Amino acid sequence: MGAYIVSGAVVKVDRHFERGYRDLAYDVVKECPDCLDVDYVVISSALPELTAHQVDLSTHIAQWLGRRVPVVRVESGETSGLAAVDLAASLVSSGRNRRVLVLGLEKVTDYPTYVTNYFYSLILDYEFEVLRSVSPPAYAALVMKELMRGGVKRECFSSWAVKMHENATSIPHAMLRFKISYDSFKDSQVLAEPLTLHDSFALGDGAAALVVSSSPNTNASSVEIVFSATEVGLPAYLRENISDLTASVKLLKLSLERYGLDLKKVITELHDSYTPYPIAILRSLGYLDGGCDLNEFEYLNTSGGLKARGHPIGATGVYQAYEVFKLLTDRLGSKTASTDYGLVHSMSGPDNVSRVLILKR
Amino acid sequence: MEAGIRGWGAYIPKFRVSATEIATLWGYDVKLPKALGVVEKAVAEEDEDAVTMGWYAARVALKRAGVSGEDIDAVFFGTESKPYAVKPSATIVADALGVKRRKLSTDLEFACRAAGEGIRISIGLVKGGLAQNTLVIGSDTAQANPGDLLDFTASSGAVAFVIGNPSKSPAAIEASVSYVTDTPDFWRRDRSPYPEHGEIFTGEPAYFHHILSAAKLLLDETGLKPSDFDYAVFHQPNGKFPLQVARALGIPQEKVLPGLVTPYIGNTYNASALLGLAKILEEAKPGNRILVVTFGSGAGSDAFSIVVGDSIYEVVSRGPKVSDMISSRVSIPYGVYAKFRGLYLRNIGG
Amino acid sequence: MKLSPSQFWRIRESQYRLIITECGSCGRKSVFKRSVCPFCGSSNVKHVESEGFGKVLDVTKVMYRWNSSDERPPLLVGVVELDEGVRVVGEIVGVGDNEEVKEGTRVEAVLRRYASDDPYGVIYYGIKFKPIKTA
Repeated sequence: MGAYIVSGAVVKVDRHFERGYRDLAYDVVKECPDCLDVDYVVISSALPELTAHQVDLSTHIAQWLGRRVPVVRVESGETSGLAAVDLAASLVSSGRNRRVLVLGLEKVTDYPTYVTNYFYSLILDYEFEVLRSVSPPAYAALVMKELMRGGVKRECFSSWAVKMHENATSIPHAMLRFKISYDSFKDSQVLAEPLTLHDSFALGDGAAALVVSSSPNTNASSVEIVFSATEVGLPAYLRENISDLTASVKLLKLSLERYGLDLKKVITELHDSYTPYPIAILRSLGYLDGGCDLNEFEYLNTSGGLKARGHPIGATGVYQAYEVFKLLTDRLGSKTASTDYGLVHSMSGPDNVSRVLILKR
Repeated sequence: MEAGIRGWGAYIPKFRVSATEIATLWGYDVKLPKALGVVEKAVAEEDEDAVTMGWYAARVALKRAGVSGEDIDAVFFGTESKPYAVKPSATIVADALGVKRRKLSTDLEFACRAAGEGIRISIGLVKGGLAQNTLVIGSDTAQANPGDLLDFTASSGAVAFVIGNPSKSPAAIEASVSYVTDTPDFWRRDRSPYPEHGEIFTGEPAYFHHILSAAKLLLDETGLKPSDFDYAVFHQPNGKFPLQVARALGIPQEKVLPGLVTPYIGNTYNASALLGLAKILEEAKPGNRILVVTFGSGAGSDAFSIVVGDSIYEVVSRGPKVSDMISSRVSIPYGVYAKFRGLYLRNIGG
Repeated sequence: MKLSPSQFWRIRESQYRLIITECGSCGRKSVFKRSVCPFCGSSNVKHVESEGFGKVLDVTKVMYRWNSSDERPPLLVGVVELDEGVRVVGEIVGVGDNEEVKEGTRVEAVLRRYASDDPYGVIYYGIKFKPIKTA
């Protein structure tokens, strides 16, 4: 018995001021007719207690949708989405359930940005990091500085952002569908020196749905979840080198080796909350050795990544999995791909936890 | 010998706002700072308060004394800028320094002389055998109504002393006395952010009367003459009063100037005179005798006669010196001072 | 009440003082008073207090706005290696506009406010770092 992604839908990552958690859930399910033909629902969402004052969100969503199927919510910071897919895959491959709806939902625009920034920062250790004024961009800046001391040029990080914006122009559900130039970094506001706003993810509301089934569709419109794994890293301040994103690198190396994959060829969605992270990971995996040519990767963050598609925190992993699923089975926006494997990577904070999913056509 | 100063420590924030800028901003004649005898004042950062500054001074005092928190039997925290109106500051500092739980611990308030009284209480505890060592802290982020005369001097700073057995101390307290009356020269009502004062009334009947009375009592009781002292340090609300009170006692200026810190850092309230004492201890020679007289509005003074011992140089070397803290300075404009001290009306708690 | 009195009270020893956890199994050291070694998971640990001195490994000036009442950007946030060989992350304070903090800057631990539940709530205090003036 396996686990297959057989259906899915997303809404545009955006500032959906007129839509709350339950509205977004309705919007995305409406786009996916067979999404409610399920015997279990797993909702992934990181911040509803903070941004919407809502405990037990999943139950209230189920009630609102008029579907009193069993439901549960998964929360694991920025990796909530992939954690939910992992749980859904376990439920169907164990035989416990037949079809599971994974519903990634997040509202991040109901407060001024500085307030949401604080909620988001709680992905770090509140007592020992947040109270000490340590925020996610502070870590990203320290990672960036360490990489730069190791010879990585500033332009390399900029090139990631430029590439992501370019990719997002052909993705209808991307939040930032416009190009940016290298020059724009000169005037970009500093978040934490040398990290700028242009090195940061786009913060938007989002909803993404996937149906994970114990059996594939009869036509070719489904993919198999062949690998789903999680690795917990060390707190960043305990690491010998802060840019060693060991958990992510270990999982990615393992999965590439096991399936004989090359990131240059395979569909890949890397977690790029801040530009230093994907650069650090690619370098640790042996890529970008002689420079920073991202064009050598054929299907790297076709979606535009967290940077440009946007990062609806707890829903992002579901977006990523949806995007790879669509590329493998059909098309993503105007993009198509001719490979059999797709890889999804998600992490929370500076590699506090990392999750990797491999999908096969 | 009554008791001894086993160790001391000080803390002066490095940021300074100039008195000339204050005068210009608030429309005073720029000659006023010179008349007050102040050049600039020390400003604590936003995340500093009486507790954090007192902690630093106390940590150095323990190090100088060569004792640990386990050796401290009482913690007295003298301040008029308590972070909590109700809840002791002393307990925070004590826990942060690892002071044992079996102890006395309280905050004292008597305007600028609470820490001075803390030393006298400590002498009693040590002499009476109730404590081997006490920790006395004087720390204030002094408040002043922006634009008021006090704005020229009200500054931030802390000082701390470990009081204990005189035979283990680099400086012995040979005599002390207190003089207290009810004199409303300066006060702050409950719920009021800034103190009020009687301006000219703070001088003759308040500052001068109490300091001179306490000093004369001390001289009478000990039989000492002003000339027996190598140094004299008085409470220093500005740069002028201490020199005037010394003149009244017949003490030459050169014995006062080494302990006169207010011209450079402002009035640190509970630290004030005692911070001057700390500086003198760092410059004195064995055998030197120091006259210390505190003053707190309300009003009262404590006078001490302190004799420097042979171990002074070694103890001085165990911690940072007041003179270095005075010279380690960074100028900030009034706008930054206002930001650091929370003087802007901002929406908070959001 | 936005800040819990008991949540902080519970962990005040690790916030007020630089407690180091030394692992008797893997020999590694980590900051904070821990009952389990974060490197190897062993409970064979003992605790010592740092002298409170160290050097900056790296630092960043943070302008990210992520709080309201306690907001006081820009902040300097860095990784400090204590002389005991243990790393800790935190804020570096007492730095003037024209002063530089960089890799190798000597620092000492100071007690500062972490957060203040203004105007009525509790105040959290804890360790930050301040450059030591080296003549």
